[in-house]
Amino acid sequence: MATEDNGAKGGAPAPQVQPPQKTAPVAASAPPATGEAGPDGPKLTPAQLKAKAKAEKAARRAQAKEVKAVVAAASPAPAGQDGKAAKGKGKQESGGLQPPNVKPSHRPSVSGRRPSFAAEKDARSFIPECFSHIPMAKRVQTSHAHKDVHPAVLAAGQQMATFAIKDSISRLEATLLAFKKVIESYDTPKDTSLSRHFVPHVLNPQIEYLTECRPMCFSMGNAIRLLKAQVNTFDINTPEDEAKEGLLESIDLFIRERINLAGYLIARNASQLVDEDDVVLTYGRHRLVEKTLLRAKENGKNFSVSIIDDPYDKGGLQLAEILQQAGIPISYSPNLGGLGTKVEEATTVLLGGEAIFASGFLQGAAGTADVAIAATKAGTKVIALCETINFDRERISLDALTYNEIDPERNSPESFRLLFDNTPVKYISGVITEFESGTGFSPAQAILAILRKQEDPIIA
Amino acid sequence: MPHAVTIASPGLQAIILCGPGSSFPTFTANPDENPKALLPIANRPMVWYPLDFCYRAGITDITLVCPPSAREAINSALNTNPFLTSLPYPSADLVSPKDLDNNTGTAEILRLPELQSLVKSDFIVLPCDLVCELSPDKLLQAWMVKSAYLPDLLGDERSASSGLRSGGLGVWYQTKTATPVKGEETDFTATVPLPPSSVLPPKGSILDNMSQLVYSMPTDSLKDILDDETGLAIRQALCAAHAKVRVLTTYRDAHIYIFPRWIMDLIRENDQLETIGEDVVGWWAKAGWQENLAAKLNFEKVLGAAEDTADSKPATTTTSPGNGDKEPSSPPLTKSSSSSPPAATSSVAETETKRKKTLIPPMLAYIQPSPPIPPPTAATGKSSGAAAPAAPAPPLIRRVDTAQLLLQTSLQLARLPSLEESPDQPSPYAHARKVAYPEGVKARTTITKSDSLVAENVTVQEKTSIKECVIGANCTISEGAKLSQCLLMDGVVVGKNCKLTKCILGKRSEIGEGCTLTDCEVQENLLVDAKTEARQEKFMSSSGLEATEETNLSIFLGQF
Repeated sequence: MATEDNGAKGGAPAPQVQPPQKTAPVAASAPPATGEAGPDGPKLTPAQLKAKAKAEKAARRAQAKEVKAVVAAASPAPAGQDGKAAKGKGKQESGGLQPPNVKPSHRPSVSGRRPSFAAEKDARSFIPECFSHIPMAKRVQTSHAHKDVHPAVLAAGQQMATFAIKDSISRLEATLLAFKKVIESYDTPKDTSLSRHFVPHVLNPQIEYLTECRPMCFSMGNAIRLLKAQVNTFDINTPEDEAKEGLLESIDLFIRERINLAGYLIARNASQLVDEDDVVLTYGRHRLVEKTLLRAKENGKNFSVSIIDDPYDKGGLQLAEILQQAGIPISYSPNLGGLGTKVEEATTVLLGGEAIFASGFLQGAAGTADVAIAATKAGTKVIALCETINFDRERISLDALTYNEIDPERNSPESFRLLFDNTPVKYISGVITEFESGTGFSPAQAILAILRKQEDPIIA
Repeated sequence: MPHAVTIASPGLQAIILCGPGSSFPTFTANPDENPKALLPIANRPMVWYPLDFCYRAGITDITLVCPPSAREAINSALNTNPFLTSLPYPSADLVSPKDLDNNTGTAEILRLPELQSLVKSDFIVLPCDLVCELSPDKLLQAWMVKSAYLPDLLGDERSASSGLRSGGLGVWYQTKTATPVKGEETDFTATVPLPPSSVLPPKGSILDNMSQLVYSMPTDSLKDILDDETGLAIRQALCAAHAKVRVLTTYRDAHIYIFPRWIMDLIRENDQLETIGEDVVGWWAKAGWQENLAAKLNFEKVLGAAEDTADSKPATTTTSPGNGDKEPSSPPLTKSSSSSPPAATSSVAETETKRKKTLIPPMLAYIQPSPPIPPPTAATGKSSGAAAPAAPAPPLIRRVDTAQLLLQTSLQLARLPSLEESPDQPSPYAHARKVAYPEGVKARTTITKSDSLVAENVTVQEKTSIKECVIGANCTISEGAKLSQCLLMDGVVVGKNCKLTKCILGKRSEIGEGCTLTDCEVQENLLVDAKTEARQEKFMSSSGLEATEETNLSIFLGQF
């Protein structure tokens, strides 16, 4: 291109301007008239040469400014939402130019925030506009993390990024334990207090990094909200040790109550719904369903289990092994084929969920909705198991496209796979959480009402 | 200018072992004045490379370990050498335990009290002669996801009761590359695949190439055994425990080990472990499938040591505070499944039935994949080149512990384009400029920039030809000299009209006029008389004779 070899003639500063040469929109209109003439046509007069040099300089300055703007958009981009906004802005700016191609040169031993932004744009560049709101795990490497990220959080983040821990509760637990380590190693600087300094300077970088590894699940969001609220309850004059103790204790309590205890109670309640000689159908491998079935077996019931597996994420295989070792007869299907027959043979369907929205819809692993719909049509009762920490009272989703995640390993310009799907209320007979005891289970709405009452005192 | 490290720290500390070189007889005759760690590879002191690796990983707590006799030399280099001083803050510590001499085994080093008190967290052990271009965050990711047991890292109560601890990670690289070096050491290694997980590993990660180590032994030891006995005896327990065993003979241990903290206790408990590579890693790998070996090596004591629970049997959580009635008293099966352990420890499900046996965390290996080597003899070389599109070369991982390796690695690094030519250089080892001091190069000289490296302050006279060479700082190349594939260290003076091919010239050596040397090594401070013609000779001063005896002894003991 004309501006490129003129730039080379212009001299040394080529390495300074990091991105490869792009024609700036404004300056491009001015030089081509003279620039085109340069190498091809007649020799330029000194005045024309001067004008060309001026135009090049303006073009270079515009490029540098644009790079700075793109980079400035990238640096405060923490959560997926902001990242999307910046990406939108970047897309707009470069819309007038060639396709986005920002690739700052990678210099070792320098904080590498920028390359992660560029990588994200490249990975998502073929996703159509209408799906651009759906996040995808960015899976940053450890070298791209902010320097304040605690090693425990780094490790947890990497495990989440590589999907070694996938479901919401394991991620939540890993996050909270990592945050405990962060709190333990935290020292308030001299002229400020924990309640003012901790959240913006220490906690937020950790949250940013975790979000960059993989978009946060609702339970993590809820827990962090509660944690921040807890930090705010501390007075400025509270001594640091007391504050730290308080935080650690509240996290411990939270884990005990809303993860461990909840899991135990749900397993106990749900196992009472499994009767003698039942055929229980389940989809994929969910920790609560596993606990329930093992518990029911321990209670001495005789039943059999039919496992429908997710063909992409074959967790059902391990579940089958575990249940078989516990002495439960198993029937296993590797995918959704033959679902109609299977649900007719089953007496109960147990489904685990990742989250429940305020509309009562259940979000679960992709495929859960298919099983629920087929089961309802066949007249089999469908029981959903979900801890209350996974309930989101603020978000409503009526379809699977509002809140979802793209599988980072299975996407291409032709198609991509979504990780979750939504099951409408009418296909679920009832939800079991840690609140109900005894027989009977309630629709999601009733549980949401109880939750609202419960959480209000803390938020106030 | 030193700047601070600006990436996140992975919570590891690094130990770099700077031993004397026993396989470098020519150049480490004086291990105290010229320790192996300071020999230049591509004009940077050898120890710069593992230090740079640590800084790129975000590790800031780095300790160099050297014998007290070499301390002064290394200290002054750390303070004065331009490459070492331009490494980021915080700078590395130098520790010289008083009981460390030139023959101490590497595991014995870790047993010394200074080191035992120094290591407080999971740590990484590097040799000083490592050149590793592989991006360390990939290794860290592999460690965090596959080896390290997350509840152990996070201090979860469950890990205390179930006795599962983090494992280790090692790296093995292929020595049979397109340009093999004669006499490079290899290791006899056997690995088994990790339990399959349905999760696809991220593109570009090394998680695909991870496997579990079950056997490791240097090929030299293997040859000794084969000489003494008719074959290598391996217990049947290996085949009983693992169905698919893959045996590798041309790979070499890069000696990059990410170890959990409890390894220090293991080394302390077992006096018979002398070297890390052969003994610690080898025995640990075997303990995974050989019964009774774990008990002999006191694994139970070591693994359960950090926790208050004396026995490491997976017990119910009656010991954790206030959890008695909350947690179901079902077997740890449920606990391990609900904590979704990393794939490496999912074997808990199978070993759950043998609860009495201590669960040994596995030692994992990253076996660096190498692109297929094109067949050396092709009837029409052009067709084979066109048929196989050139795959990008895998990142360079090499242990540089012989002179030939030094030469070859330096030349390979010299081929990297400099930062001046291509600023988007992915390799961290590119120099700023190929010819650092172009004013010293007179007219009518030929220097092939694409594969040579010329350092600061080098004077090159007219009519010289320098092809594929690495020339250290302050050298003088006189008129008419022809150098090809040579490595010159600091301050070398090459006389007029010399012809040097594939030579390695030590510090401040001097080659007289008209010499023709091929495949030679010249020790430091040595003067080679004019008009010498030599082929494959090692020029050493007579005072080097005592050193060779000492170095022979240390080779026998299997040292660096």
